[in-house]
Amino acid sequence: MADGCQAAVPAALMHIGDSWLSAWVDGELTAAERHAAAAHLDACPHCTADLAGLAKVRGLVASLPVRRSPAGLLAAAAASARLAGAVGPSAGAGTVAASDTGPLTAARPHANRATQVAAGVAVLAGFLGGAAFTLGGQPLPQERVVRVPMDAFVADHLVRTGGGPVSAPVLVNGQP
Amino acid sequence: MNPGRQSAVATAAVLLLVPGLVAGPTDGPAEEDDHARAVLQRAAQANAELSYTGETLWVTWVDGAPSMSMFEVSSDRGALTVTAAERYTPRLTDDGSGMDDHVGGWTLPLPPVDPAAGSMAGLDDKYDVELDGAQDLLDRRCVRLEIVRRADDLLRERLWVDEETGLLLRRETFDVDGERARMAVYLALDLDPAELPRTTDRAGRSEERVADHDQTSTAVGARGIDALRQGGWTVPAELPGGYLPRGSFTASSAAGLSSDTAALQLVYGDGLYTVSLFQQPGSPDWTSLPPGAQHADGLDFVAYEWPGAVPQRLVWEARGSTWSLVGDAPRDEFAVIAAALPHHEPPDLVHRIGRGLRRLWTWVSQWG
Repeated sequence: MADGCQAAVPAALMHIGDSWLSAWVDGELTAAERHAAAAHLDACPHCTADLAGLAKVRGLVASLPVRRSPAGLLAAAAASARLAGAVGPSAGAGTVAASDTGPLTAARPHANRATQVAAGVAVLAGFLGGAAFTLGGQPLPQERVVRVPMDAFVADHLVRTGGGPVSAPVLVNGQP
Repeated sequence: MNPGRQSAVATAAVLLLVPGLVAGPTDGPAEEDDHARAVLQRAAQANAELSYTGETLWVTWVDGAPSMSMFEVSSDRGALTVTAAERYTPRLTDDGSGMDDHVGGWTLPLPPVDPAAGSMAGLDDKYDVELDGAQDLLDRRCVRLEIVRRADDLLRERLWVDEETGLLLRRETFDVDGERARMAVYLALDLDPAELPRTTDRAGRSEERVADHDQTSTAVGARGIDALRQGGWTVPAELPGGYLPRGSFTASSAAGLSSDTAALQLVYGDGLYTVSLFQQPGSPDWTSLPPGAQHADGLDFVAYEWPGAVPQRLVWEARGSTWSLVGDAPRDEFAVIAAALPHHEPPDLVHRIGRGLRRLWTWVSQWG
């Protein structure tokens, strides 16, 4: 740790700095540094209290649920930072998952699922309706279908009518 | 005024007041119409009174193209037999080097028709029958008649009637454009045959039947007609063009119809032409139509006809029933009649989709 706390601190004369305490909580002190800090914490109730409070805060942050950031947030933040002259976005890893896959609106997973279901139902209904319309143009198989005995009908007509009041020279059942 | 002059004036006054005394018996228009009507009536009855053999030529025109058929005919007081038919359509061979003929033939004995069937009732309401002179055919003197449709002065028929026997030797039918639609003429005629071909007896029974017509159909009376109407059958009181009812019958068993698919035959006539309207409950099996059926043009619905066939025939579907129209009316009147009868209307959207869903369900349920 590159700050003034790297040198051994006389436990009876100075407190441990916040950086030392954070490093202790994050497990980032070397063995020697940790030995020196532990010697100080044994004799310093003030630093011991600070360490306890810092560990508690860390635990509370770790208990928060992971939330997906709105799409475009990082890009918007980076653009804003560039405009402000600041260095690029921080990692912010550990507690916030970054995502950049959609409009900059609040994510609603339940609403998306309902829309997909409704769209699927609409597509299926449209397909069924189109198929039914196409297939409905013809009589159903169980509807009665009859043979047309046209030759017999012609004979019936000729017998019953003589072909007309003024018959042609011959009445024939002819066709080209 | 001297007595002589008074007598002349009186005589002139009488003659002027009583024209009938001056105009003696002459053939005015009314008398000519009566004569023409009498000739036509005689032609309608001649077939039932004569025995003869002959050779006839039939020509029908479809879209201007002629189709010819020749037949040998034998008639025994109305029992008509057609034998040794030759049918051909004149057309060029594929290489254009000559005429290509299609030869075929059949025997079609027909039982004698009901003498009362040829009613000319209503003819005078629709047509004018006019004398058109005289002409010789087959060395026989013929009276030429013209039958004109009064409503539009359209020439419908031209007939050549043998003066001696009343037999109709030639007949021409004209379409709505004034063009000949069909013609039938005797090419040879023997009015005193030594022997008639015994293919049929007086009752029309024959062992050589090709078209076996079993006379088992029954007439349907007025009460039956009322019952049919109440049952949902369509029984028009008349058909457009002045076609009045002539009789109603059930179709014969020779039609191959079972009791649950019986057909109703309704006969109509306008005094010159007759048509029969057949109704069958159910949709038509289009594959059962005789060969030669073609989609009918000029109608607003799907129908099939046999162009050039005599008698004409038309079949279509409407309201769950199959309709068949058979008759000798010209094609334009045929179309008017068919258009006035129920014809297929596309099902409404709800009905069509419902029917399609039922069809889909039958497919799915077969897999279940």
